[in-house]
Amino acid sequence: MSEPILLAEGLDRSFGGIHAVNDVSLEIPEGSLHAIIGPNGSGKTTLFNLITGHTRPSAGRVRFAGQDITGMPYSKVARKGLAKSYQITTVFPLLTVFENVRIAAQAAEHSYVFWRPADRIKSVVRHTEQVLERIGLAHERDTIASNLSHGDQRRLDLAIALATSPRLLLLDEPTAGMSPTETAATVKLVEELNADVTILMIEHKMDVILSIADRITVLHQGEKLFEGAPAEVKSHPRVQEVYLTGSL
Amino acid sequence: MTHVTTTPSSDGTPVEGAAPATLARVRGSRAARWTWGQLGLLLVLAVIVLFTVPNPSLAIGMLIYGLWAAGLNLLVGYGGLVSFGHALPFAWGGYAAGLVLLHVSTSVWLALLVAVASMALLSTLVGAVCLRRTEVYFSMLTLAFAQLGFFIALQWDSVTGGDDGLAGIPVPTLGLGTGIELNALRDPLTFFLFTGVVVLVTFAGLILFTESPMGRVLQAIRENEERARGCGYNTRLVQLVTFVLAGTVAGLAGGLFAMLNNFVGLQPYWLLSGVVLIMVILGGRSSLFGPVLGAVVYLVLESTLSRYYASWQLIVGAIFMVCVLAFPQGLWGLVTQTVPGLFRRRRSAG
Amino acid sequence: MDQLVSQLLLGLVSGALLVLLALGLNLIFGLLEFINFSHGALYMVGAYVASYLAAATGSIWLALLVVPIVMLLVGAGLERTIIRPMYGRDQVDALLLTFGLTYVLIEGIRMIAGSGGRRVRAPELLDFQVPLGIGRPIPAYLLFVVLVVALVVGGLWLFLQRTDVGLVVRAGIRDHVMIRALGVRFDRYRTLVFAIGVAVAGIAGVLTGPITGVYPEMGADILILAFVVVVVGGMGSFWGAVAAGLLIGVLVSLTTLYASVYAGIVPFVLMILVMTFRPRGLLGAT
Repeated sequence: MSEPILLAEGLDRSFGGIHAVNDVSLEIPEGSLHAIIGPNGSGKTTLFNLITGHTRPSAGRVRFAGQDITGMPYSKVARKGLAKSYQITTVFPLLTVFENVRIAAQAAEHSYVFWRPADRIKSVVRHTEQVLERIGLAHERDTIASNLSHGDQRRLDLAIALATSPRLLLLDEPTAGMSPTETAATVKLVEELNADVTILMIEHKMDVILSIADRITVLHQGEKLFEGAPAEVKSHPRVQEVYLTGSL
Repeated sequence: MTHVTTTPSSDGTPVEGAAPATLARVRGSRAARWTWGQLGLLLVLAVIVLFTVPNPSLAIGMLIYGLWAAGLNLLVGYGGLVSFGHALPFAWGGYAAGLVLLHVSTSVWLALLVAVASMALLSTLVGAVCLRRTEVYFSMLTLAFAQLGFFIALQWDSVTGGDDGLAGIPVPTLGLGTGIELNALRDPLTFFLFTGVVVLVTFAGLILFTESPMGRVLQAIRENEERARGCGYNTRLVQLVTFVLAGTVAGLAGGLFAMLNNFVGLQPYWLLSGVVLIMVILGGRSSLFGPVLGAVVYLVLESTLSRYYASWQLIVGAIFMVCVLAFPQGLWGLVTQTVPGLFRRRRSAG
Repeated sequence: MDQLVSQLLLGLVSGALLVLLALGLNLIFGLLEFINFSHGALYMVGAYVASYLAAATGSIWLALLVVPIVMLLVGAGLERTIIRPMYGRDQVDALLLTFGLTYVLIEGIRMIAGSGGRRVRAPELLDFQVPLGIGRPIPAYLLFVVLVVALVVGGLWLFLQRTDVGLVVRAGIRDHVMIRALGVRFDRYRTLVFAIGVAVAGIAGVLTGPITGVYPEMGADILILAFVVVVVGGMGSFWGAVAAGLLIGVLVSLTTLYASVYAGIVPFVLMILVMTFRPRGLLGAT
C-alpha cells in the first residue's frame, strides 16, 4: 500500500496552557474527500494551520507526499502542492478575475521570470482559462475581483487554489455565508473537483458533509472524538450528543 | 495586508473596509493597460520638453528625475512599499560616478557601470534589512537608512568632500573612438540625446519587468501578500528584487545627475527623498509614465512658482494632499480616466 | 567622570523627549494602523505655539497648560477632516497624506514666523543650577523636563490600564477585527487616540523650546529618531518605546563625548543590529 498523501502524527499545540489541538493524527489517502467537523473552538482551524505551517506544532509531525513538512514556511509547503482556500474570502481585490487566477497558475513553473511578458506565456494563459471555465467564472474574466458577488468571490478563492495544480486541497468552510442555492452549487463543484485532487475540508453544515465526504473526523475540544464513514458518524451516539449541543 | 480585502461578516455582507468598486476605478487597471504605449508617451514627452523648456539643464534634469521617479514607482505603486529614503541610491550613484570620473577614468560607461553595480550590491544589503518586517517598518527603515547615509557622507569628508561635496568633476567622454564629450554647458543637445536614450532604454526595461510574471506577482503581493504566499511565492524575495531594481535605477539617475552638474554634494542629493515621492504621487502611481509626467510637472511648478512666491512648497504640499485625498490616481490617472470618457460621450452624441 | 555624569543626564533628557514622540507614534499606529508621518511637524507646531505664548506671558507655564489642549483640538480636527477618509483605504495612503501635511505645516510656519527660528526662555523659577554631588551642577529646567516626561508617561500608562477608553484602545491594538464589532463608537476612540498622540507630541514641543529654541525643521530630525526608537523598542510596545528612547538618548550623548564623529550614526547602527538579530524589537511582541 502506498503512503497516504497527507500523514499527520500526534499533532499537538497549546496556547498558554490550553490545548487547542491535542494529539491528533490524520491519514488522508490520495484521491479521497476527507472532512473535519466539530463545534466552534474544537480546534479545526488550528489543525489546518498546523498542517500548512502557519502555526508550529508543539509536538507531532506532518508528512506530505512522502516528505516531512513540519515547521516549513507556508510558501514552501504551497509549492510542494498543498493549496488552501480560505474561510475569509481571500483574493487579490484590485486585479481582474483572470489575473487573480493567472498569478496562481504561473506559480508552478514561471514564478520568478522577469524577462518576458507574462501574457505571452501560452501554457499559463491556457491553464488559467481552463480553471475559469471549470469553476464557472469564465464570463467574469475581466471583472475586478472586488466587484464580484460574495458567492463568486468565494469561487474565485477556490479557483486560485485550484490553479496552482495542487495535489491536496484544503478547504476551510467553503460554503460559509452562502445562500442555499450557492451552497448546492459549491457542494457539486467540490465533488467534481475531487475527481482530480484530494480534498481535506472543514465544514460546519452537517448535511453538506454527510452527502459528499468519504471519511469524517470529528474534533471535540482539540481531540479526535471519532473517525469513520458518514453513516458511522451519523449513528455514533457521542458524536450526536457533542455535535448537537456544540452547535446549539 | 491591504485593507481593501472584503472581509465578509457572518451574514455575508461586506463590513467596513470594502469600498471596492470606487477604489478599483481609482487605482484602476485601465492605466496599467497602457503598457508598451508608455514608451511612445515618454518619447513624445521628451520631444516636447526638448523644444519647449528654454533652460537645457532643466530639460535634462526632467529626464533624469523622471527616470528616478519611474523606478521608485516600482516600489510605491506596483509594490505598495513607500520608500521615504530614495535619495540614498540617487546620492550613492552620484558619488560613485563622481569618484570614478575624478580619480579613475572619464569614461561615461565606466562611471555609470560602477554607479549601477555598486548600488545593486548596496540595495541588496539595505533591502534585506528594510524588508525584515511589514510595510510600516519598511517606510520608517528606508528613511532611517537615508539619514544614516547622509551622516556618513557628511563625516567621511576625505572621500565625499563632506559639507563641500565633490566639485570639479571632469566632463565625461563617450569614447567609442568618437571623442564625443558630454558637456552639459557647451553642448547640451548631445547630453540631452544621450540621457534620452539611456532613459528610454531603462524605461523599456521597467515596463518589461512590470509585465513579466515576477512583476505581476509584485502587484499581487501588494493586493494580498498572504494569498501570494499561499500560491507558493517567496514574497520577500520578489520584494527584494524590486527594491534592488528601483535602487539601481536611482543609482543610474544619480550618476547622470552628477555628470549634468559636474558636482556631487549633500545638497541637493540627500534632500530629495520627499521630492521624488511627490513626483510619483503627483503624476500617478498606477503606471510608469505617470511619475515621469509628475517629475516634469513638479519641475515646471518649481521653476515658475519659486520665482514669484517664496513659500511655493506650501502650494506643492497642498496639491499633494489633495492628490492623495481626492485623486490617488494622480495626473496621468486623471487623464486616462476622463479623456476616453469624453471621446465616448462625443461619439455617442454625434 | 564629571563630564560623563553630566553627559549621561543630558542624554536622558533628550531621550525622554524622544520617548514622548515615540509613544504617540506607537499609540496611533496601534489603533489607527498607520504611521503618522506628520508627528514631527505637529511637535514643531506645538513648540511654536508655546514660543508665542511664552513671549506674550513671559514664561512657558501657561504654554504647558494650553498647548496640550490646543494640540488635542488640532489632532481631533485633523483626524475628523483628513485622516478619516483614509480608513478603509490602503495604509500607504494615510502615510502619504500625513507626509504631505508635513510639507504644509513646515512651510506654513515658515510663512507665518519666518525661517529663522525663535528663542524661548526657561522659566525664571527654574533658572538655577542643581548641584548633584557628582559632576557639574545641572540646570534645574532639565530636571523639570525629565519630571514632566515621567508624569506624562505615567499618566498615559494609567490611562491605558485603568480607564474604559484605555481598555478599548488596548484591545483594539491587539485585535482590530474584534474591536470593529463595537461599531460606530470605534470612530470616537480613533479620534481620541490620534488627538492624544498629537497632544503628547505638543508637550514635547513645549519642553524642547527652552533647550534648543524653535525652528521650522526641528521636527524632521527628531521624527527620524522617533522612528528608530519605535523600531528598536518594538512596534506597539509601550515600555519598549520608553526603554529604547532613553537608551538611544544616552548612547548618542555618550558618543558625542567620546567620538563625536559617530554620534549621528549610532542610533542607526543600533537599529540595523536590532532589525537583523531581533526584528520584533527589544520588547516587541511576536
